[in-house]
Formats: sequence, C-alpha cells, structure tokens
Amino acid sequence: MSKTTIHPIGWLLGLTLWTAACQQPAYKEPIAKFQESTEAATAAIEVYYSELNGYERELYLLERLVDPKKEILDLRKTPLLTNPFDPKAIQVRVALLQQLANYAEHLSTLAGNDAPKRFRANTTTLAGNLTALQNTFTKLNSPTGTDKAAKDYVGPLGTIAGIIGEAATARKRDKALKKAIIDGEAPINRLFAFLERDFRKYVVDTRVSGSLQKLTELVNAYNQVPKRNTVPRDERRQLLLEIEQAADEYRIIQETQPADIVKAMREAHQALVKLAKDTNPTTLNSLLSTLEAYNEQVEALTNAALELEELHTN
Amino acid sequence: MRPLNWKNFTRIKMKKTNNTLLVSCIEQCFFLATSSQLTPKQRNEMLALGKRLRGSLINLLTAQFNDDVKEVDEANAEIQAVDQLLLDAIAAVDNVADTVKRVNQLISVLDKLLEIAIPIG
Repeated sequence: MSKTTIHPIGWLLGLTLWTAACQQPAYKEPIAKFQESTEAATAAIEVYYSELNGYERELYLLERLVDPKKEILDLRKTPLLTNPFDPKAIQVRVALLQQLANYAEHLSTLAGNDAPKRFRANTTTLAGNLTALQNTFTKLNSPTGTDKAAKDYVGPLGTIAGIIGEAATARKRDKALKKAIIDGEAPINRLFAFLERDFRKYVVDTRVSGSLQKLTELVNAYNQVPKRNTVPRDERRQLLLEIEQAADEYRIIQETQPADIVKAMREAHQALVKLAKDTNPTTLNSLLSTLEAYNEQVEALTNAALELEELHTN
Repeated sequence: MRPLNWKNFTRIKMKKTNNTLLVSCIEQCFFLATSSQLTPKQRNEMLALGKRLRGSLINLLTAQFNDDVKEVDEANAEIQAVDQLLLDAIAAVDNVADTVKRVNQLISVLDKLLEIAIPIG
C-alpha cells in the first residue's frame, strides 16, 4: 500500500482552512447574538436612567393634581427646577452603556464582519471614547465632583481602553479576538457588577417605590372623593382608568425586575469568555443556551419599556 | 494609553444606610395607606409618611458617611426595627399608632443623619 505524503505547505493550508472553518463560525454567530442582545439591552436600560428626573417631576405634580390644597412653593427647591439626580451622573452612565454596546460591537467586528482597515479605525475610536469616558468618571469622582460612586468605574475603564487599543494594532484578528475576550473578562465583569448595583440602587428602588407611591396616591384620592355616588359615571371611569394605568406600571416594574438584565448580560459575557478559553462543543452549546436566555430577558425588558412608554402617552 | 490597575486604588471605608430595607419600609407604608382597617386619617398619615421616607431615600442615595459615624448604625437599626413593625402592622393593624410614632422617629433620625452627610459638589 502506497503511503500518501502531504507537502508541508499543503498541510499548513489545510490547517488554516480547518481552523477558519471550525473557529470562525464558533465565535461569529454567538458574538453576533451577544452584540445584538447587548445593544437592545443597553438601549432599554438607558431609557430607565434617562427618565429618573422626569419621573420625580411627574410624582411631584401628581401630588398637586390630586390635592388642590397643595401649593407649588420655593420653586427652585422643587424637582421642577432642581434635578434630584445629577444630569451629568446620568449622562455618564448612559455613555458607559453605549460604550458597553460598542465593546460588544467591537468583538463582533473582530469576529470577522468588517474590513481590517475599518476595523482598526473603529477600535481606535472606541479606545478613545473609553478614555474620554474614564476622564469624565474621574472628574465626577474628584473632590469637587458630584458622584462618588463613579470611582468604581475608573479603573476597569482604563483597563478596557488598554485592551481595545492593543487589539486595534494586532495583525491577526482571531488571536486578537480571543485575547480581547480573555483580557477583558475581569474589567468587564467589574463594570457589570457596578452597573448591576448602580442600576438597582438608582433606578429600580426609586422606580418601584415611585410607582407604588403614584398608585397609592391615586387610590387614596379616589377613596376620598366627596359624595362619590353623585360623581358622573364618566368622571369616575376616568379616575379608575388612571388607577388601572398606575397599577399596570407598578406590576410591570415588579414583574420585569429590570436589574436582572445586567445579571443576564454578565452571565452571557462569562459564557463567551469560557468559550474563548476553551473552544469545544460543550462550551459552545452552553454559550448558545445562555445567549438564548439573555435574549429572552432582553425582549421582556424591551417590551416592558415599550409598555411603560405607552402608559405615559395614554 | 497605559491601562490603569484598579487593584492599586485605595478604598476609603464608607458607611451606607440600608436602602433595601428602607424601600421595604416605604412599600409597607404605602400598602397600609390603602388598608381597610385604618381610618381615612391614618391612611393619609401612612401615605404622607411613605412619601417622606421616599424623599429621605432619594437624598440618601447620593449621601455617604465616614466609617466612624455611629449614627449610620443607629439609623440602620431603626430602619430594621421599623420595617419589622410595619410588617407586623400589616398583619395586625392594632399597633398602627405605635408604628406611626416609630416611623416619625425614623424620619427625624434620618433628617439628623443627613445633616452630617459629607457634602457633594
């Protein structure tokens, strides 16, 4: 039996093709899914952060709507003119979320969807954005700054900016991708942990208690309507409709548990890191099922954000 | 740029109020504000207390205290006690008067605490 010999160049070419065939799709599809879900999740979370001050104004005015005896005094001290939450601190969190979405997009690009030249330009821009964001957080955390929690973001942002900057100059994308995912594990995990805590603290707690306040205020006002039996049916219907909407809002916030989305985001990222560290069918399947769960939560959060928006426009 | 090493950041120990339990207190106040077992006056009082506690929560979110401020521990103990009282009150509304008194006490404890908060900005 004759022995078939393979030329070393042919062997190398075969290995390269095999690697490309096996590794690229293994990363490409899940990273694209991770990027899509992260983009949608960060957009939905942004809505909650951006509404913080507007929501407090709404509660303040509702108090006056249901109780005509209440006046609007000391205007400059009211939420109408003084934001209870520093807009700069909100803005920087929104920027952080956008950069997280950009980081996911960068990984997706690195997985092989863009021309190398454009890729380098994109990653350099992202590294620059992260550095600028880090500077903003540093300012907020300075002695004259307004946001002491911002210090938690400064370190990880600097590290990620370094990792991205390094990936931008790497020649081999698959290696750069693997390295970026693995090196990014610790700082990205820290950002997720801070975001989860921050989101629960500033958004979930205030929104849950705020929506219950709104509902209680409306119910209390309804219960105190003098001679309710003489109030025309249409007027009562209107009052009950407002109560129903407030109850819907409280129920949606309670059921959706918006803070869980950051947890799901962190878990999906962790599964991605696991795949980068050890690419095999088990880690790939585990990542795909985690991404599936992540996507379901993102859809639920997006739907909840839309429902809440609809309740406000009604 | 050279990445910063976050491990090198020294953390100054700061104390925080138990805002999770405070949110629970607020919720219990609002639930009591619609209780059929309470008089309209008591319901109004619970609603007003819930709103005042929520106002304290909003202020406390951006406040921090040095580790040696013992008033934070006292406030946390008070929050825990009031939360339990409110939960008990929901189960048995007989002790509402006591609860109202304790919530009022908690509000003044938190007001005093905020006076010694480290100013921001």
